[in-house]
Amino acid sequence: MKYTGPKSCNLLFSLCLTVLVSGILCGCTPGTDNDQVEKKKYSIYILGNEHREYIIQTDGFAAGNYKPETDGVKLNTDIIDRDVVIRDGFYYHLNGRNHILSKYVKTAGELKEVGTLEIRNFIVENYYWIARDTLLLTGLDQKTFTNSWYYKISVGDLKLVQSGLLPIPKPGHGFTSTSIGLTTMLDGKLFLGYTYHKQLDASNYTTSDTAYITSLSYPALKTLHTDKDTRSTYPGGDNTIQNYSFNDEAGNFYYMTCPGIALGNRTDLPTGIFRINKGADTLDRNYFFNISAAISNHAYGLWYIGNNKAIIRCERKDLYKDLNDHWDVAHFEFYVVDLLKQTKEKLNLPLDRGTRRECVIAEGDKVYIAVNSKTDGNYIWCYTPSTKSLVKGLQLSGDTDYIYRIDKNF
Amino acid sequence: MEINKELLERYHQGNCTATERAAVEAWLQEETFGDEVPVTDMPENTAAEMWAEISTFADKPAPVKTFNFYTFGKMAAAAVLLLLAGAFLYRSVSQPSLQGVSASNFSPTEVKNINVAGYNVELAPNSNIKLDAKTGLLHFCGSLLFSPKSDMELSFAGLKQKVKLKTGQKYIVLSTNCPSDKPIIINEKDVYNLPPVMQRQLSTQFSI
Repeated sequence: MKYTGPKSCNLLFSLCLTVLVSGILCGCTPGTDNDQVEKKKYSIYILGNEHREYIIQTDGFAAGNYKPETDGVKLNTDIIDRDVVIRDGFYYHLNGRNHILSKYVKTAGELKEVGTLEIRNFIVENYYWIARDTLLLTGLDQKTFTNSWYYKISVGDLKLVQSGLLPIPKPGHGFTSTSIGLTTMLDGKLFLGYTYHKQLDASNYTTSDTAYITSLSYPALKTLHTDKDTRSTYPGGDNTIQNYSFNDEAGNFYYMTCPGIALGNRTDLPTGIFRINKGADTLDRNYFFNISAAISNHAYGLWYIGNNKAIIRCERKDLYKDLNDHWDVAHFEFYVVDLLKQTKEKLNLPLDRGTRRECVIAEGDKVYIAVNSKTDGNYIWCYTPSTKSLVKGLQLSGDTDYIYRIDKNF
Repeated sequence: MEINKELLERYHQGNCTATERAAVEAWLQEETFGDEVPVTDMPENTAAEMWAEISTFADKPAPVKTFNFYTFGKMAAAAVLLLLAGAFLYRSVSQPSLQGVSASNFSPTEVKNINVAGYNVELAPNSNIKLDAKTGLLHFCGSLLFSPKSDMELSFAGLKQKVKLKTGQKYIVLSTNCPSDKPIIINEKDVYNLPPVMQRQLSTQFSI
């Protein structure tokens, strides 16, 4: 028999040395694993206790249990808040303190800034993706809230393409500020929905009884037509916080007005759903879905789930007292509304907390609904419209107080 | 010379003759101290009486320690009372007494800063504040940003329960009525929970 002992020993020693050196090299490279960019299918923005905030990414909502403190990244709340725009795994946020629009990616260890663009004296009211790489921001000047501005941004390199004043009239006749609640492109024209507010005293306000819908040529941005509608007011809302509009399969555009105390503070007017038909320059005057008449309450938030059906999120005025407890008290219900038949069907979900939240994603034959229940915990519920099945999916536990928002990354 | 009591007394009084002094000092230098005290037998009846007295308790078995719940409860209650008293004293000592304030801001545009012991206030334009130091009751009109320098509880007109305010945090206090009957008190970090029109107003006023 041939003696091979020493050769085997040498081989074993070399292997051990390689493993050891590799281990040391990997261990000594700072943050190698933590710097790995994560681009999972969905993003979950969490409000924890003591104002801690986190972002978690996941590839599915159907099951599981995440704790943000171990499964997510903790955010620096001095520079970011939940009014983020999310697309293709990137997070965009304008910080009103330092006037910097930042672009972030999520790594295993942090939300990492990968680009910046200075935008001074501007607050975002609405965003709209003109193209996959072109983001349109509409909003107001940060001092008077009376001048309406837009910024068109190439997000690949985060460069400003175009900016300027929008031809929205400044408030007058005692009205002191503007709100832009809708921004969308329809058949090559830019449509804006807006209204005006009157400051009653240092901390009280009201809203005009009129919702304005203006169509503009694009890219010249010249006014083509303005609809004034007094059936309700405050068209849409700040869509960086919650969604209020959509296009159906036929290209018709639907939006919700929000005169309740959480937006318009004109509770004498009803919440309603309105429509601009495909190819039209003006509002469909024959269409009005009076939501308040249907549910005897106001609603905030509208998400399309297909087949002429949408989900709305409705407050319960018998359960909250005023703005002091509107956020904390569990009083929100979800309804599926039929946009053509104008009927409603309440979903059998626990009462939800949080005045305005981005909490519904429709994808394929599934709808995911994030609910912050005081009794049942924080869950993503999975709703199947075809079977009306509604089951608990992913749980958010640990330091989770609220699920602020859920978004599709891609 | 016989050394006796009278001689020793005269020696200490300085009344001895030279001979007597020499004799006393020679005696003091001796290593022996004379005869030992004679040990006399104790009378039998005295010894019997003493033993009888001692035996009244010497014969009893040693007491066995038992766990008495009643006694333990009293001890525990005392300990709890002591702890509570300590906590109260610590709290009284550690929490500075509240300083009252009464101020108005008539400026239509500028925020007025009020810095007193225990808290800071940024008073919004056209707002006023009155904080009663004795009752801890806060009346106000308009809006303000309240920054406590230590944990405290305040009462607000229109609210039944006291509101706990934590050091290091800033609280937006506002009301839609004047004088405030339904105040809204939120952490500045929760400003996004308010309607956008109020957010903008407050964010601009207080540079949030």
